[in-house]
Amino acid sequence: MLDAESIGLLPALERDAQGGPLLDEDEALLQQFERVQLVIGAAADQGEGTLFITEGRVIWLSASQQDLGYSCDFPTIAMHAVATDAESSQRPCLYLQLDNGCDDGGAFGLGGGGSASSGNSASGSEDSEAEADELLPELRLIPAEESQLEALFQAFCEGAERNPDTSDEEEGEGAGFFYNQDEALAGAAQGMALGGGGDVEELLGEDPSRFEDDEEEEEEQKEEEQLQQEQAAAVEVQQQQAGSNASGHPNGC
Amino acid sequence: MLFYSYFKTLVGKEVTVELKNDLAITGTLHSVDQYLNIKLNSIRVVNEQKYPHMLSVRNCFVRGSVVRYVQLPPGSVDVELLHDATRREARGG
Repeated sequence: MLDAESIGLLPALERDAQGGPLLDEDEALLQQFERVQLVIGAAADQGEGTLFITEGRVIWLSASQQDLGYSCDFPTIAMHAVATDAESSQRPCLYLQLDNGCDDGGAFGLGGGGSASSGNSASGSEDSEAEADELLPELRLIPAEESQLEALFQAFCEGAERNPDTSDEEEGEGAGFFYNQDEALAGAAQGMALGGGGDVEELLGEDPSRFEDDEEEEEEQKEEEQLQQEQAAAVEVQQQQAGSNASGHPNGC
Repeated sequence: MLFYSYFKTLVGKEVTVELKNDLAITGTLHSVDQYLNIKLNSIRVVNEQKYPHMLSVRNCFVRGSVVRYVQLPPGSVDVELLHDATRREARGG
């Protein structure tokens, strides 16, 4: 079975009494395209089916297999395009790339999505149908009627526009970003004022000797100082002796 | 709305859109909307070896939320103007 979930395609296994997709309570069906072939990744041909467009997602149901279908919400569709190659034998189709948001080191969300974590490892992968090692998150929707292509393209444009990201992260466009150097420095200055020079005094207030050297260290320091003094004294003595010896030869030799 | 307004001034110019999944597409900016969804015409894919099926794609629609960068034609960018606009936007909200 194709590991479609790893690229953001959810299996649509159930249908309603009329053979259509099982929709959520408030979900309205907006459009429907008959005789659309679906190819997943490089060449995993799913055959012909019906494409259903709802407010929030796209559902494809196979025409021949009752338990074969996929759905994908619009936010998962990163880009879509009309591909009409007159040169190659590729039939005109709607090309889509999915991005389900997880990044597992690779460019696409391979191996990172949900329970389908086998997508990226050779040992776990079972998609013998996929020619490549990885299932690239590409889809091709090939309508039987080429004239449907424009409408298909438009349907996906509108679907994306209907389903913008509603993230809580940003309060507004570019929120949290500094727009210029002045702003950045102003922010930094503010930070300084809050937790800057006043702090040291505050900390000392509780314990004046807080930042004093340890007693042990002090002793060591004293010993060192003493040693240095003795050495200095010794050098002085030598110089005096040298001086008295060499009194006749001020320039030394 | 700053970037929406700004990108509208670039309609007709050639840009390269880099998506968060590393796909990079160069094309003529056809249109942009308030969510920064981008429509490009006459596209060519920067890393076309990876996506052979995109060779025959001419026009595309890129979802705003998957865009990482939009590379602009150097001659078309008035840096001072953009700088002022962003400063005003930041103050005005």
